Amino acid sequence: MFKKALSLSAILTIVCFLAPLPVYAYLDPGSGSYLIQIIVASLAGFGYLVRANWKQIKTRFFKKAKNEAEREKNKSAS
Amino acid sequence: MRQKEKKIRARLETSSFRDPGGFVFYLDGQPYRQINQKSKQNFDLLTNSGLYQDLAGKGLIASHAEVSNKFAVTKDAYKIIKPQIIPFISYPYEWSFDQLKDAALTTLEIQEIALSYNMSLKDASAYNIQFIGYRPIFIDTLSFEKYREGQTWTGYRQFCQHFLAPLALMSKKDPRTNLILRDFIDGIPLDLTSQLLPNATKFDLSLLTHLHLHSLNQKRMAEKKINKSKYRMTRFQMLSLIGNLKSTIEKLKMNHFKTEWQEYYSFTNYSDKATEQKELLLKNFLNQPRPKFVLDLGANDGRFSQIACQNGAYTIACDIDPLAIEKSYLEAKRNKNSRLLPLIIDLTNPSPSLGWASVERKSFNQRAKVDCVVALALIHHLAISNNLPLPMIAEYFAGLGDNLIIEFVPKEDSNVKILLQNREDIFTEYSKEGFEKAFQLFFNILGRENINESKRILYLMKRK
Repeated sequence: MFKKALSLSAILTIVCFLAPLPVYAYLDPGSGSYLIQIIVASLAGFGYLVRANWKQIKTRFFKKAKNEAEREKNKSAS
Repeated sequence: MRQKEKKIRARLETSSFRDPGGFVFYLDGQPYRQINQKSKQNFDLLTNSGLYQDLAGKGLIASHAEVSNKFAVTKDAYKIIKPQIIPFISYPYEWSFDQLKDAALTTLEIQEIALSYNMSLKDASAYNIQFIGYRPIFIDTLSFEKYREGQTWTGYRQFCQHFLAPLALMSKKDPRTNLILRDFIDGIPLDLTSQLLPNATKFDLSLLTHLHLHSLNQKRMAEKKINKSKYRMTRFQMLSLIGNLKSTIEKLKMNHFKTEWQEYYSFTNYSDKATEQKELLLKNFLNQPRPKFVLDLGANDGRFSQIACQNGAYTIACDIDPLAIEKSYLEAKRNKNSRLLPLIIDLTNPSPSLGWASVERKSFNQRAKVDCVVALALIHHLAISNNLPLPMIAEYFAGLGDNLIIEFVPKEDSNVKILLQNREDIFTEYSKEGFEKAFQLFFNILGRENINESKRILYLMKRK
């Protein structure tokens, strides 16, 4: 699941920098507003992904760290 | 061009000109919308994708019926639709905090649903939302466009200016800052918002990015061309942005201001018995003209407006106090009262006509034409606190409605005594006789009842 999320966010980031897109609008979105919304959207998107996959992230990183710490401890004890 | 082709009978809506995709017009007083050929693809997609049916089914968008093209105003008409009637048009600067908040959340909900149908809102104007009682409803059928993979949300800047900026200011600074929307027709500029907001809001990540950094970036990027092909947004990112805006808006509250209510609104110089009798008298008076449309001026928290609603009238409850209107709206929402529309209106300075050529947004006086005006415990505030001559008040009320139910509060009343305690009494005409004389210039008095345990009198009048 975590791998899936990671690859999904990688794909999303790559997609961000792909082919041009015409904008059909009668409103001027404003260049400042244009960029800031992409930044917020990316941050928020990342936030949602982390939250949605928090259990997996926790298991993967924290358990790994914990196991390594335990292994270190055992090594020094022996 | 459009003017040349316009049929004589059709009257164009003065606020409907920014979007070349179509416009609203009136025929025999009934509103219609012309969909231009330019919008054919988007309008068809709205209907054929099922988005319109979904939104209308949920009560989020004003429903419409397609009518014959013989009503077309110009040659480039694709279709003519007849939208659902909105009983009273109101504007964001007349809404309380929670009204604006619910309007914002409705806009975001619509954008979320639209994305699931491969469509997107091309703008996010607060003027696209109207209220039917407590219920916010989206009125612009032409705001939907085909969603193109990778596009950003064109309405983002407008959403921040029309909704987030005023809500943040009302929540973090002062509930009266909603009035700034009156001066800025396209929402409150973000640089001004950023300056007015307390510095503490810079520690709130959402407000920091959507308002403060957004404003800085607008300044930094002003007049710079950006390569839009480089910066794209996925559907997931767009949904995340909408979700983030939603939670930002939901987090904004006015609790610290609301705590003052309990004390303030429990203060009244009426006994319970007198209040009950006043309610009964109002009910009896309302039964005579049986109005369908009531304007309750100085409605406070809408207690008496609800009686007009129960009597079957669609009632606009106006008050100068944003907290009173907030309370009234929340009460209407709790009771799912679709006949009560509370609005912040300062009667001594009602909403003017605004916008392009001063005709884009209509004044309160232009919109407020009702069957019956109710003005309870108000006359002393107008005549004494605001030095308004009684004949001028009578003339103004006569211009608003055919019938008038008005309470006269004499100088002997404890509330009037408070108003006069620190000033010279220059109000020689302010008496029961002076009041009747002034109002009889414009009205016939049909009923007159004393309110028990008080010195006040309730009148029923009919315009001459």
